[in-house]
Amino acid sequence: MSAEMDRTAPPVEILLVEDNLGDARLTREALKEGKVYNNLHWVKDGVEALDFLHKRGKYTDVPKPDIILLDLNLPKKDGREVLQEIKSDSRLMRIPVVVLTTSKAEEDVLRTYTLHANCYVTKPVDLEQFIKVVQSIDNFWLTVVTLPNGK
Amino acid sequence: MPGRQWDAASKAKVVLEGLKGRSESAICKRHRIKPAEYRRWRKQFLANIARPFEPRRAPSAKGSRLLPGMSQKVWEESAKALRVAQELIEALPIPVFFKARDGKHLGANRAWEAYFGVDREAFIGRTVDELFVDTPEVAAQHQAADEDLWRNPGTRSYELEVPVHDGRFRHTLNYKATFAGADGEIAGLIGAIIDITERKRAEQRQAIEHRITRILSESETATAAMPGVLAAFCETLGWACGARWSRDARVGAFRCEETWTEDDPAVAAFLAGSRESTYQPGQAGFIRRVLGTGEPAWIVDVTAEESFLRGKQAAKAGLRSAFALPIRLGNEVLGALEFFHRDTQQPDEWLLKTGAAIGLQIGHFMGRTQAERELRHSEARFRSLTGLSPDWYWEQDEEFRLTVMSSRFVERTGIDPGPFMGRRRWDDPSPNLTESDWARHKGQLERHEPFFDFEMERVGPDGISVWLSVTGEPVFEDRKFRGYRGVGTDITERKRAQSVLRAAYDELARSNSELQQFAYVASHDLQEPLRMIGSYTQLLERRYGDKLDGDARDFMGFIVDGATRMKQLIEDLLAYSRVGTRGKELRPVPAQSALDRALANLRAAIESSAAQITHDTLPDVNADDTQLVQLFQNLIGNSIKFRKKEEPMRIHVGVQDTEGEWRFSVADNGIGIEQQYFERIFMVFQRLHTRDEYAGTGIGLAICKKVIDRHRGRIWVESAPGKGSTFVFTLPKIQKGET
Repeated sequence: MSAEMDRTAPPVEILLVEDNLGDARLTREALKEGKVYNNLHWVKDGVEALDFLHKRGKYTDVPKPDIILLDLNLPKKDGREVLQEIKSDSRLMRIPVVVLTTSKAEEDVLRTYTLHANCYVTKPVDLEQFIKVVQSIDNFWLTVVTLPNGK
Repeated sequence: MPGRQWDAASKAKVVLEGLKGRSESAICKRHRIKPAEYRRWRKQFLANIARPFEPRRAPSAKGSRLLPGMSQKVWEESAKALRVAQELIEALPIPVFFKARDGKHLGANRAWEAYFGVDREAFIGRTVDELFVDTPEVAAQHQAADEDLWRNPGTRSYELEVPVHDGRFRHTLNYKATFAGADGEIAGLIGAIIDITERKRAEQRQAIEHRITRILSESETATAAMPGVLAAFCETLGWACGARWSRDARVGAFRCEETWTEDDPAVAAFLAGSRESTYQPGQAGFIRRVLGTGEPAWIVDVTAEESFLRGKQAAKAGLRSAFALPIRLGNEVLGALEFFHRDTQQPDEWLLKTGAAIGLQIGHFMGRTQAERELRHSEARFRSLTGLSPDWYWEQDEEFRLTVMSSRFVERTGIDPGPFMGRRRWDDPSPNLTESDWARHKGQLERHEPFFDFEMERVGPDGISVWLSVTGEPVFEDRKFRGYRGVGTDITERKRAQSVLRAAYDELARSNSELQQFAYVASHDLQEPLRMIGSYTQLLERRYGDKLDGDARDFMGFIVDGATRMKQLIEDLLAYSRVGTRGKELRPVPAQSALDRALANLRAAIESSAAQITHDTLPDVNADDTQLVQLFQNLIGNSIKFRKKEEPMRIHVGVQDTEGEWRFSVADNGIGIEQQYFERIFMVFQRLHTRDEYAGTGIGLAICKKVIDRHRGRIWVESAPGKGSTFVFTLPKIQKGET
């Protein structure tokens, strides 16, 4: 399977929940360098994220995301609450959620809440590492999502 | 009385009447018997009792030396009567003797012979002077009594101490009666001796004991009583002097305390000599023996007895015999009494027994005075204690009503105890105590349990609370509950200090938790701008690197490096603050598995450094297992980091079992540390090397110290540059019941 072939496939719909402009941009930049053809949707807080997922308000016409990149420190409704709502909604619970944390410490704390995120990623300071992280999400997507197509 | 049956004793009585001088006709008439019958009885009687008891030679007609001026006929009559009387008294158990008017002995019975140890037949015709050759004063007294009796015939009795067969003196009661010859003249006397020694001695002993009892009852101390006691003994029994010896039971030393003697300077000098020194325990010596054995001792002649160490001095004072007896109280020998006699005295059982009784009496007295002294001391101590103590003393009766309250109460609290007297503790309000608090206290009292530090709040005179702490114990007399007694303390100051302390503690805890929260939030929030700086600098370089010159790239390199380091510092600071905030509860865990996990985490570093790591068998400890892993990991990681490049790395993890705690050690053969840095290395972000030499922020040992502090242990380093380092930390042992 090559990147060329992927271009023919429908784009991967990614929902990025991130209030920090810099981080959002950085994610976009990193995805640009990845192999997956994607469609990045960006919302800035937890309330918007849930509107998006439930296709409410201005989001009536959006696709169901294939993967959610969720920052924790969000205005209005924080990442933990968003995660909890996603995981307790039968229509949304199967969407993979990657939780983006600021520090290892924060990740440890989160684990104690036993909110079942599919993956935790600590945002690195180093750009190279960040790109690697986003690419690892890319790879994750390729392995997990291409399987049903192959059936 | 016809038909009367005459037995032998009655017949003898009748015959005796005749022998005493009553005429035959008078006797026959009186007893209504025939003269022939009387004569037959008399013949039979005399035939039965007659013994060869007569003087060896018959008196001559010219007159006997025994009974001068007596006719032959009279002599025969009287000799006959005498013989019968002698036969009669022969069997008596008391000594009886006869003397003629000139004092010469006519005869004596068997008891007399045994009493004086004298052959009576050989003694006939001898005088009392010859009986008491060695004691002329005794003979003279008998002689004087006889003289008196010759002048005033009749009966006499008197007491006299006389030497007997074994040379000892006995108390005798002497009965004497004159008898007349046929001519009516006093012919001689008959004497009987009753030995009253036992009675005398009983009286003497009683007299001594009475006197001593009186002295002891009137004396407050043994010292005051002793001279009188010693005098009572010596004066009553004729001993020259006495002394009391005391004994220091702890060291065994003894000394002569009190003495008594009549006014005899030589004896007084001897006694003064005894009093002068303290004697040490040992084998030899008279008093030592008595104190050692607890038995009385007797020395017949102290001047000839080697074991009597004061022999010379005693001889100079004219003392001969000595005896000593223990003063006892139960099995305890408190001291001894010692007596000296001027003459040689044979051991006397009676005296020893009497002495033992006195020793016991004095022992009891001393025990009692000792108890009284101790009671007085105890009372004095109690008075001092209550006088000096800032606490007050109180008592309650069986119904828990206050009966006694010392004055210290009002002095300390300013509260008048009056209204509380006769009332129970719970009869008055105490704002700090609830109904159930009171019920608990009441229950304790009803179970007669002691109680400690029961705190009550009472309203003081100015309306301000006074805090009291009361401690008490139940009082029992003859196993019967009598109430409570105890002490009380004004703890108002303590309470005030406690509340200040508590406020300070609460404030500290709050600020501490705020600080931790602050550190966490601050370091967390610092990450984001850092990431922006780092990431976008890198993005700049990535996208526009070819448009920048070398300097610009260098500068951007410094920015990224700084941001990366700051990120690490923040991570480390977070880790450090989390030791306190995110620690788990301590519970028993195997230290061995913590070490195993630490070694697994460090596998890459261990392999690349080719470190050889050995360890003792590690025990279970009370710990947060995650932090214990971190501890081992940091210490071993440190050792690996600061290894000598030129030597194979060796690390040993040891443990020592010391009292109450385990002492762990991580010893390496690394580069070592100078002593001046031993403390500094455990402080946050303190480094001894540049980052170029050794990487790291300097948080590892600070975290170790914080972990160990949290586990109530200690951590330190023993090291010298080039000699390797040993990091030692202690952990408390698991107490029983913690498993």
